[in-house]
Amino acid sequence: MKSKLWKLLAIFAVLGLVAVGCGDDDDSSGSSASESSSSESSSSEASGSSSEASSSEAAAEECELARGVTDDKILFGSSQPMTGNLAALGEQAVLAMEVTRDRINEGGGINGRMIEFIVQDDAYNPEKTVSNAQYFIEQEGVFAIWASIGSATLKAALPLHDESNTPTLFPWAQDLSFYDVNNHPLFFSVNPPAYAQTKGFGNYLVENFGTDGIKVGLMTINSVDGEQTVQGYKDSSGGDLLVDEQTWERDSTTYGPQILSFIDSGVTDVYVGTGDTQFAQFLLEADQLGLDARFWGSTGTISANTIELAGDLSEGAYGVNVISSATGDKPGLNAYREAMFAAGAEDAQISTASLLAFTGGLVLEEMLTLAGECLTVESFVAAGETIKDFDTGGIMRPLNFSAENHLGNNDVIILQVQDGAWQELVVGQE
Amino acid sequence: MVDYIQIAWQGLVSGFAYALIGLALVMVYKTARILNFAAGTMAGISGFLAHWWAAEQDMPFGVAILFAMIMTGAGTYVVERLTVRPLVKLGDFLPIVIMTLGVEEFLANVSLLWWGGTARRYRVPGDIDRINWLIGDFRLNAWHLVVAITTFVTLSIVGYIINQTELGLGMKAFAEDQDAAKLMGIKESTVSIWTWVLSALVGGVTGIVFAPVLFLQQDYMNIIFIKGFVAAILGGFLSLSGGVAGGLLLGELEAFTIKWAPREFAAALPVVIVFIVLLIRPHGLFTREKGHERV
Repeated sequence: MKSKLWKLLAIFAVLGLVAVGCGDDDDSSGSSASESSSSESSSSEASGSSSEASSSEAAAEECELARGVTDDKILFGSSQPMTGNLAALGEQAVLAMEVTRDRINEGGGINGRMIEFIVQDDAYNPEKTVSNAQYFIEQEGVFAIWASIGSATLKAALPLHDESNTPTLFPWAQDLSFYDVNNHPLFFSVNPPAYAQTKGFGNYLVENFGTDGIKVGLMTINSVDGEQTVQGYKDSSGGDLLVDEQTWERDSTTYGPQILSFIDSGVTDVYVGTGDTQFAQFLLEADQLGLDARFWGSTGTISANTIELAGDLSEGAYGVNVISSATGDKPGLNAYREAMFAAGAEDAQISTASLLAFTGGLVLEEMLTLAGECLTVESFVAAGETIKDFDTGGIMRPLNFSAENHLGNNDVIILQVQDGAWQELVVGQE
Repeated sequence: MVDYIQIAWQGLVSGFAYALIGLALVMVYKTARILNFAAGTMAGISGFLAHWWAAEQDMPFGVAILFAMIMTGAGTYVVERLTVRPLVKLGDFLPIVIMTLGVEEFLANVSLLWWGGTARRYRVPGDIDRINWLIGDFRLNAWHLVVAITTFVTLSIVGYIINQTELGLGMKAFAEDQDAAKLMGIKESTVSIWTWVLSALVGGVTGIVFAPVLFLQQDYMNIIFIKGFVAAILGGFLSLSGGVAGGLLLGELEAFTIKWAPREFAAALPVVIVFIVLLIRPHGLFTREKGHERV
């Protein structure tokens, strides 16, 4: 009880600090490249007239650092659903970003620069994502947008990122159009498109369960993202088995009507493209209405919280993922969980959302390191394109990027809830 | 046939939530001419409080709900006195609406900081939310039955208060003619505060009873609030029974359109239907043009 009171006091204290912080904006946000250069020059002068200092001065004069980069920090922005029914995912991703930031900064930063990031809530509303992007780029002057969540939201903001030469890094967003390097040369991802995920699901289904008596139902969000999810399935070897397509809305309060339709269609397998909370609710309502089928959840459904919320009803459910189970036993996963728990994560936050952000953070660190001291958008992108066989400690298979391909990972991993935990069944590719 | 009954029942369960929130909104609007945009968040906090008392403070289930309702009522009293009442005295409608939006933002952020964004399961005794009965081909979830009973009991209590108590008389008087009510010696601030508290308690009941259905998560009642708002508009915003009927109608519209409309239109169709209804009857289905519908 007392701790709650302290939390309340802390809220007021934070509000006060925010108010004070706002007052300082004008002073602190103007850390432009020219300022960085001049401060670099003056520090070099102070260190004497050695040849090293001279060459450093010369390099500094030649290098015009990217927006959001100074001698001692690199600033990122991240638009997340911190409120609304996807808030849990936003919270998980931000925690993983904090873990990444702290790991890098405690190790002395990258080329002497600390990582900083600003999070703005978009409540999974594309209009808010656009205004957040404007804020990040025009007011805060960030170097890049990092680990944002949402296809529809990112799709709205991506043109703004591109126009302002702002890299878009490792979002949990999977619209097919994002991966076209010619249209979006600054977009880097380790998350295959939704299209690839359902295609992998269809192929796995036919390989493992055949086609006899199989009837598939899909429930996807009513958006372009959902349409691509459906198309991916139709293009799989199980495409002909699709008998019922249903959609859900962000403001859905029940999936009962969709489930009743699946019952009418006699489906044997239902693929549900939602977040973990919605998937748990779907399992609950499917049980209430007597839908007897195998349930397959998309990437967003794979978290410990699905199991916590749905309880026994989640047992046997499948997950179609792009990344290993967050609870698996591999060096990279163990390091991830250790860092997350040390940062105060709850069991429910050990999830795909946080693991994807964490993994993106590993690649981001590598790209920044390879880009060297003179960090520009060009040097950063060029560095990213040289990464080959990047080892994530088993979180994903080795990642490869090139000038033609900014999607480092194309895995489709099938998981299943067994004995109250997600277990990895098979790793394959679309 | 059972198919239709099953869908109708599913729609009715959603409709109960919209009806109760619609009722809570209309109650305050009709009496005080205030749109309370914080109603959804306030209802959600009631659900979180009931969960907190039970799961984290080890209170018995019923006592936890009682404590949550007391805190909801007391909190609403404070909110009304501190934020709304001073603005009512200015006599301008817009600042009050903005204030309720501010209260909503504040409470949502406090809730987020306190409970976090991760969804939680609201456990009920005997896990009865996981019990399903098969009656012929019709499937009935035990908790849905609790939802239905709670809705009817709540509506009955509100009906009793409005029709049989002094507060209800005051509410009716202010709904009919505020100036006349004041001349009759009915104290505006007293009627207003107790209407707010009653409205918050109705919202609180909704927040608690729907927590096992929707799970406790940030903003989980805001979606219900939006639907309740549509229900209130459909009902005419000046009729309590209209607000309730609007909610039930909206629930049914959603259920039947999702089931049978093409996927591209299913989600939008209920809103389109509401839009058409309002074009034909701009004052809503259950309010006469001049807004002199009885409470």
